[in-house]
Amino acid sequence: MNKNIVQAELNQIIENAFLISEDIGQEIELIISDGIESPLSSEEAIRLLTKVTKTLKNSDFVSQDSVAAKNLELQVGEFVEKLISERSNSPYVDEDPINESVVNLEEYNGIKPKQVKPVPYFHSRPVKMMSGYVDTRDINLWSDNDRLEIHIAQFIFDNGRNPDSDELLSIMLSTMPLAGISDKNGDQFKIADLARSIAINGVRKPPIIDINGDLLDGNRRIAACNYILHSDEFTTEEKQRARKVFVWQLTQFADEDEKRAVVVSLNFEPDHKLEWPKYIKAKKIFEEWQHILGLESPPPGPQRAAHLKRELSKKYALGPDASHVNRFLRMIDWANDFKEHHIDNNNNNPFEVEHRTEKVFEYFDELSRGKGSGGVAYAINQDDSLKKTVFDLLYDGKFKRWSQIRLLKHFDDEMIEGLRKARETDDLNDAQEIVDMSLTDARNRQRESRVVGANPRIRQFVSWLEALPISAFRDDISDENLDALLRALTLVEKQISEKENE
Amino acid sequence: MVGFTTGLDEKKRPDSAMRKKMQQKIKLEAAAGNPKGMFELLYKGFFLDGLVNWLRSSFQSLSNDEIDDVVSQSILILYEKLRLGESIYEPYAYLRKTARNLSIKKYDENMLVNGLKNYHKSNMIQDDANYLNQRDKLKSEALSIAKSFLPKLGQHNVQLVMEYIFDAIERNVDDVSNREIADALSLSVDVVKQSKSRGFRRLKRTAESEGYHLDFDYTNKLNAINHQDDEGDNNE
Repeated sequence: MNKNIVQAELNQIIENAFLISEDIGQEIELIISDGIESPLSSEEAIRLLTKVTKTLKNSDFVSQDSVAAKNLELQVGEFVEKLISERSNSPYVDEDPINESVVNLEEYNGIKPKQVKPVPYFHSRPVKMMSGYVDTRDINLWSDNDRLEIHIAQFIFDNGRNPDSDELLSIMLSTMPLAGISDKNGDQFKIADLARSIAINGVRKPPIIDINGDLLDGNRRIAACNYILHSDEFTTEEKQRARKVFVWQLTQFADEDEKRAVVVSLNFEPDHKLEWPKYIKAKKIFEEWQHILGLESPPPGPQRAAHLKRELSKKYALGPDASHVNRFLRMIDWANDFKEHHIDNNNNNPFEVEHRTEKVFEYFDELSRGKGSGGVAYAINQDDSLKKTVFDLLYDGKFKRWSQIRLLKHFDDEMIEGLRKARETDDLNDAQEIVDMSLTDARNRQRESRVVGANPRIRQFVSWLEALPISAFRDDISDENLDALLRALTLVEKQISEKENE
Repeated sequence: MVGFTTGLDEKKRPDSAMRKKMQQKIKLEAAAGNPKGMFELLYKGFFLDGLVNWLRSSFQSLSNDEIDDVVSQSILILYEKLRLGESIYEPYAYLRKTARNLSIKKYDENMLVNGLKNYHKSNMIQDDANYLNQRDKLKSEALSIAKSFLPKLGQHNVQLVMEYIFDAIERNVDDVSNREIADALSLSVDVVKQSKSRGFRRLKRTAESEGYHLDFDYTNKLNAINHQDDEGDNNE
C-alpha cells in the first residue's frame, strides 16, 4: 500500500489510541458547567429527549430484556414533558434518599452481603449493620479523624477549603507537603508497616462505613490498602487482596446518634490490645530461620541467605529488607547464651530464666552491636568472665537502663572490678549505683587517654595518690597493685637518676 | 443531597464527590435494567445539555438532528455495556468519547456521500463496500506497524499499558480509563498515567526514527496532564 496512506492511517490509529485513553476529567467538569450555564431550550430538550427515549425503547437490546422493556412502557411525549418540567421547576434533589446506597456491598470470594449478627454494641447502644465487600477505592477517608486535626487545619489554611478524598489520602500517606511537617517525619501514621501486615494477612478488623462510603473507623487500614495498590513493593497477588475490603456498613436508617456512638466507641475508648512481647516474636523468627536452614542443602551462601532472610521478613510483615530479621537473630543468639549461663552455670529455674530473658530482651540488642574492635559485643567476647558478670547483673536487674550497655565497650580492669563488686552487692539501689559509676568512670578514663598526654596524666595520678589516705595502702590496695606501684616508682627513680647524670 | 437551580447558584453546583456519586447511581440504574432511570439522571445532572453544546461546537458541520442521533446512540451503547456488566468506571467520560467517535464517523460518512453523490447508485454501493474493505485492511496494517513499535518503548509497564490501549483500538472500544487499565494489568493508576505519558512520547520518537511522521500533536496535552519529569526519557 502507498506509504503516505499508511502513514496517515498510522497517525489516525495513534491519535485514537491517545484519545480513547485520555484523562478528560477536567473536560467533563467543563461540559457539566456549560450544561448548567447554557441548558438546552425547551424545544431542543423535547427533541433530544424524545429521540433518546425512542432509540432506547425501539432497540433490540432493550426489547429483548423484559425488565428494561417494562421499564420503558411509557408514553414518550408525557414522559419527556414531565422530565423537563421536573428539572426546571424543582431544585435538583435525590428523589429517593431512603434507598440511596451509593456504595453497594458486593459478593466476593463466595461471601455475600448480610446483616452483622449479633447486633454489635457501640458505646452502650446497638447499631444495626450490614457486612460485605467493597472496592477499596470507593471508600472515602474520614476527615474528622482527630489524628488528622492539625494536618487538616494546615490544609484549610493553605488552600481555603477542605481536602478531597485524594488529598486526604495524600495526607495519611505523608506525601502531602505541608508547612511545619518536614521530610524527617517520614511515615507519620505508620501506614507502610500496616500495609505490609495487610499485604500478608488482609484487613482483619472490618472498617466501618456509612451508606455513602464515608469511613467512620479504619482510616489507617484504608490508607494502607491504597498504599499497597500504589506501591511497587507489593506483588500482584497482594494488590488483589487489597483491592476489595470486607467492611461493616451502617444501614440507610442509621441516625447521627448511632454514627457518633460508633466513632466514640472505636476511636476514643481504649481497646486494651496487648502486643506480643518482642522476645516471643523474635523466637518465632529464629525458629522459622532454623527450619529454613534445615531445608537448604548445601547451606546457603551469603547471597542466598540474604534472599531467604528478605522472604522471611516479608512473611512476618517486617518490611522488604532483612534488617529486622538479622537483628532478631542476633538478639536470640545472645539470649540463648544468657539462658545457658543461668541454667547451666547458676542452676536457676529454667522457667524463671525464660521470664527474665523476656523481661531484659531489649538489652540483647545493645549487647549484640559492635562485633568489631571497639564495640560492645567485641568487648564482652574478649573476656568470658566479663560476659558472665554482665549476664548476672542483667538477671538481677542491676542495669538501670539499656543505654548503659553501650558503655561496656570502654572496658578496662577497673570497670570489670566495679561490675564484680556490684554483682556481689545485695542492695539493688547500691548495686545499680556502682554499675553506673563503674561504667561512667571507664568512659571518662578512655576519653582522657584519647585526649590527654603523659604529663597531665601523671599530674592527675600524683594528685590522686597524694590525696589517698595512708590507711588505703594497708586496707584497700592489693599487694599485687602495691608491688606494681613500687616497680613503677622504682623505674621513675631510675629514669630521674640517669637524667641527672647526663 | 444538595439542591441547586438551573445555571444560577454556583455554590450549589455539583462538586467532584457529587459527580462521582451521580455516576455511580447511573451505573446502578443501568445495571438493574432501568434505562429510564439512567437517562433521567443524565438529563437531570445537566450532562446531556453540556454534551450537546460540546458536540455542536466541535462538529459544526453536523446538523442538530445528527447530533441528537449521536447522543441517542451513545446513551444506548452506554446502557448496553452497563447492563451487560462491563466495567465502565466513568459513564460521563465514556459517553463523551463515544459521542465523539460517532460524530467522526457521521462526519466521514457525510464526506463520503458528498464526494460520491454524482455516482450511480449501484456503483456507490459497490464502491462503499470496496472502500470499507480497503479501510479495514489499512487499519489492520497501520495497527500492526504501531504494535511493532512496542518492544522499543522501554520499560515493561510502558509496553503493557500501550499494548492494552492498542488492543482496545482493535476491538473498537471508545473509552479506556486509567482505572480499567490499572485493574486489568494489576498496576496502580499512577503507574498507568506515567506509563501512558512515556509511552506516547516514545511512540512518536520511535515512529519518526522508522520514517513515519506523526503530525498529531499531543505533547501539550501530555505536559498538562503529567507535570512530573519523565525520568529516564532524557537519557534515551
